[in-house]
Amino acid sequence: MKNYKTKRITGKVIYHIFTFLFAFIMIYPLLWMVMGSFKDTTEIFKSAQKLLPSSFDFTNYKIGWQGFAGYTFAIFFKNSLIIAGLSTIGAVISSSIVAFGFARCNFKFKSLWFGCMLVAMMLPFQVIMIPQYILFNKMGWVGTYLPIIVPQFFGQGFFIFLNIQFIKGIPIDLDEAAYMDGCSIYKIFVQIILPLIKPALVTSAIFSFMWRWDDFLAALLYLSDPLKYPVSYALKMFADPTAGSDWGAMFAMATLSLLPIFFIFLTMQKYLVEGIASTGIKG
Amino acid sequence: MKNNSAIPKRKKTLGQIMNSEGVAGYVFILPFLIGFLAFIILPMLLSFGFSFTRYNILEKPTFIGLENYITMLTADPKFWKTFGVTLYYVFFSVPLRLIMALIVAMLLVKSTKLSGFYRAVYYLPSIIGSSVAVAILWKRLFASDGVINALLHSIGINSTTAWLGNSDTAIWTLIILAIWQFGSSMLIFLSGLKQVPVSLYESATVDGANGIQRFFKITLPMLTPTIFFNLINQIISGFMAFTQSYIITQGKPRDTTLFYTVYMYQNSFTYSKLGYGCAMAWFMVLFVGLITLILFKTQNKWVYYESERK
Amino acid sequence: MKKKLVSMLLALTLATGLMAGCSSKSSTQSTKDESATTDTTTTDSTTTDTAATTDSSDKVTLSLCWWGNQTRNDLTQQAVDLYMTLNPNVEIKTEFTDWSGYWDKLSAMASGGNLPDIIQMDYSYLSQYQKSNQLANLSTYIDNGTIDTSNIPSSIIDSGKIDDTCYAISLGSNAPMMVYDKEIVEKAGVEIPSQPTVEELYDLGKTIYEKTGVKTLYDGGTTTLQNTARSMGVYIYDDITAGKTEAIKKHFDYVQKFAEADFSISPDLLAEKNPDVVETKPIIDQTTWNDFSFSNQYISISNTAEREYGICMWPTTADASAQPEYLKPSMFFSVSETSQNKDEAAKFLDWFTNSSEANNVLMAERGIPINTAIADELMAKVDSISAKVFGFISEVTKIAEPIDPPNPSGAGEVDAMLKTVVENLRYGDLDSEKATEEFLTQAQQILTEAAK
Repeated sequence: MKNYKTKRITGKVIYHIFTFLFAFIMIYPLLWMVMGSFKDTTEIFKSAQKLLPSSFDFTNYKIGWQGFAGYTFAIFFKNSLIIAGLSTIGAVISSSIVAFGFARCNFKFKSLWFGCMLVAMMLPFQVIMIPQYILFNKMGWVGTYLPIIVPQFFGQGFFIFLNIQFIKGIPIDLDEAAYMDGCSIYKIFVQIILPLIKPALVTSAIFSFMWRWDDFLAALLYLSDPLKYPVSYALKMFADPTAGSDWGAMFAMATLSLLPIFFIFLTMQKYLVEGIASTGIKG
Repeated sequence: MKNNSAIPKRKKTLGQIMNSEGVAGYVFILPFLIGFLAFIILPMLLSFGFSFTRYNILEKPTFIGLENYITMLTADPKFWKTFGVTLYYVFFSVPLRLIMALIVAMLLVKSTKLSGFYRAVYYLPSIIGSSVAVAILWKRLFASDGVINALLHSIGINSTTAWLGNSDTAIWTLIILAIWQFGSSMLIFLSGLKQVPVSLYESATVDGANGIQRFFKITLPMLTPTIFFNLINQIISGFMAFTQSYIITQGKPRDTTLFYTVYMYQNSFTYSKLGYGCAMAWFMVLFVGLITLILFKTQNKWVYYESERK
Repeated sequence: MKKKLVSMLLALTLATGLMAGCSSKSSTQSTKDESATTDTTTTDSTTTDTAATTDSSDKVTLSLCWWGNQTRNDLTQQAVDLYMTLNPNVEIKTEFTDWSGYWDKLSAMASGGNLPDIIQMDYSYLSQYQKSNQLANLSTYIDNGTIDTSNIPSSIIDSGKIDDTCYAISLGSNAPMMVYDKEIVEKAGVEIPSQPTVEELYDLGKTIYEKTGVKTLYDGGTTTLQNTARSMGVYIYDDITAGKTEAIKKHFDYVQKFAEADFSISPDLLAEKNPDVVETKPIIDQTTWNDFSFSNQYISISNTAEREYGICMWPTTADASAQPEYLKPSMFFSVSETSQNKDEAAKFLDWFTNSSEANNVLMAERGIPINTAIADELMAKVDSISAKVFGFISEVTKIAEPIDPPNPSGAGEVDAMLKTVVENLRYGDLDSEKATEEFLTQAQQILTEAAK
């Protein structure tokens, strides 16, 4: 018995050491970048194999924050928040509504539309990138946030799919009981289903926010006024001319750009696993 | 599809409201319908139309029939080159990423006090996605005077390889990046693993199966639907990969990292050959569509659905 | 079902044609009658002008875009801010990107007829944009005195002309140059002539590598190809069209000769360093002792490296029959045809080129000011770095031969293709023979396609 216990404890210890070490290797590049943001550029080059900086110095952050040509990173962060925030709100709300339609209602051509949704989910963005650009251009939207944000308000395939799977996991008796009580189907959605699919909503929100925050192609295509740049794109503009000259400042801004999504992920990751698990993706 | 199974049940009990339900259904999916028609179908049709034209953005498109497709398939060596690069990238990055994701998921399926922490840490590389930050980092890691070489040096290997400049290794830096960002597949595997009934393992252990046998006899077959889902997803996103090539390597050296999508973008915007770009887009749609179709057709052979057993 | 599909597609192609047609009304009008193009555009622009001038007392918003690096972005922004203080009724929105992103974006903007009012233009893209009627006729403004050209040499104005109409005003003159690290050159005990030959460069590279271990760069790009052709008295695009291989072969021979030399920077390292971007040029961190660029870039290069370099002319060849060095009117500014405020845009152009306020801020970063009075005035003020460029340009002026005609459409793609061929040559996949053949066939194909 005692032998079994020690064996279990050694097993546990080995497991943790291994998992921890492997995790360390995985995030080493990231750690290196974060630490690099405290080093000056010569130190980054001279002691590339070292992880810890000789001292924690925030100069890089001060320099980097100045941005370029008078546009500071404060502007870019504000823009990213607006873009990612509004897009996320749009995507989460519209996707849950559409998902309810697919999961709980029976209507003509439903399977056709469901198929369309799957296709839309899998369609490479680049295919429609060019004509979309031309369309938005005709509408006079180029140069604004509209082409980036508005499409998010019409449901996003992946999130719709996620919500459908989640809603299907909720016993139908709940709806029926409410229906017997005289609730309309819209009321059922708002009052019964919506509160129950919180994990799916949160999961969609996290993914949506992260994707929009990182997204760089849309900004590259549609925005040209530096006042409107999100962080993702500003970082490229900042990095290109700075490349080779001030890696420290670049690391600092790259690190800052990751902070918001990192924070969101840390606080919400519990819901994330739950949300994905609930979809029963395994079929 | 699974959604159909819920409907007959409803028909019996709520059959009388079929009419209003038919309407309500459309009300609910209305946002999707509008978005689908306006932002997907219309652009797709436009792009299809453009693919038969010479359209340099600045002037009106002129109809040239199949010329774009013919040039593309017969007279553009770069087209095949970039197509090959993308295939190579997908062929190696997708399976390796899935294997990595599965290994880590198996590691983390065990529930301990630190599970949340581990999950977050392993997911971390993925949250930075294909952002510019990662491009900056990757350039520095694989530079001739960068971290990888410095680390190699400290363990006694003298390397001055310019990983990003060498035409044999450059594409692998991008593949490694893809493997490194295994997070979302890992989470999906994790949830799949948690749904494998424990009773199956217990009875197998009683029968005297060892760990490896249990993995191949139980875990893997039970996971095939999850693997299938991940595979489809990753293949599509592999073919769509753009930012890595666009900002980390710019296709260098010698176009060995020039992805199909980047070449398509260059044709459309840099060289102002929109019609040609659209033709390239359609070629990709057809190709990816074909692969997806093949995978769906063959899934009966290897994907194991629990519901079928019942 | 099939019939339906076909008719739908037909309707679609029609619709797209219509949609694209209405994107730029003025362009369709003027293309109707090719021979009268200049007339139509002139009348077009004058009518919009009067409309714009009537409300010039109100706030006018102009947009201005350019490509550049950090130094230029900061300086230009300062100049623009100054203009807005001097002209409170004008608001200028600025947009800037790096070189490659710039043209992607510009063509996209042009497609919807929303080009910025003032566009930084390059010699190599001028004809393409003019051909598709994107650029406003600036001769009108020169004739009516909005843009003062009294102190500008007519050759410079001519460089922005196509078919006798001016579409772009150059902001400064440049010349191809080679920069070198003085410290390393001194250490090696060699002297760089004011215009070395390629053969001399080869020997220099060898000596420097033996003495210091620092490597040599030989540029294989379009400028060098053009340069080699010019040294033979040939316009490269004529050769390509005619299928003549002599100049092209000579170029690739040189590239190969350098590629095979052990003192050349390795292709791996070159790809990683990327000499196309000032800040990552291998000369900055002393991986190489030399680099190639245009004279206006000298300021950015020494700013980035925080030290001064030596400069000399782009190498010629030992058996040159003509002087390849030329003055390049660079960094054009054009006004877009779709601009609502062409008058105000022209006024800004005048200020940008002719005023000492503007040029005192800009400090010849785009090249030596084209206004000779301003250039003289600046010469007295500039720091040693800019003074070096001024001196260099006046040297070049003495011997320079006229510049080649503007590049044909498709030149950008040829340039990208040449880079790939040169890379393949450097890696040893091709020899100069095969490279010539491959380059020529592809270049011909691209150019014929682009001319359609």
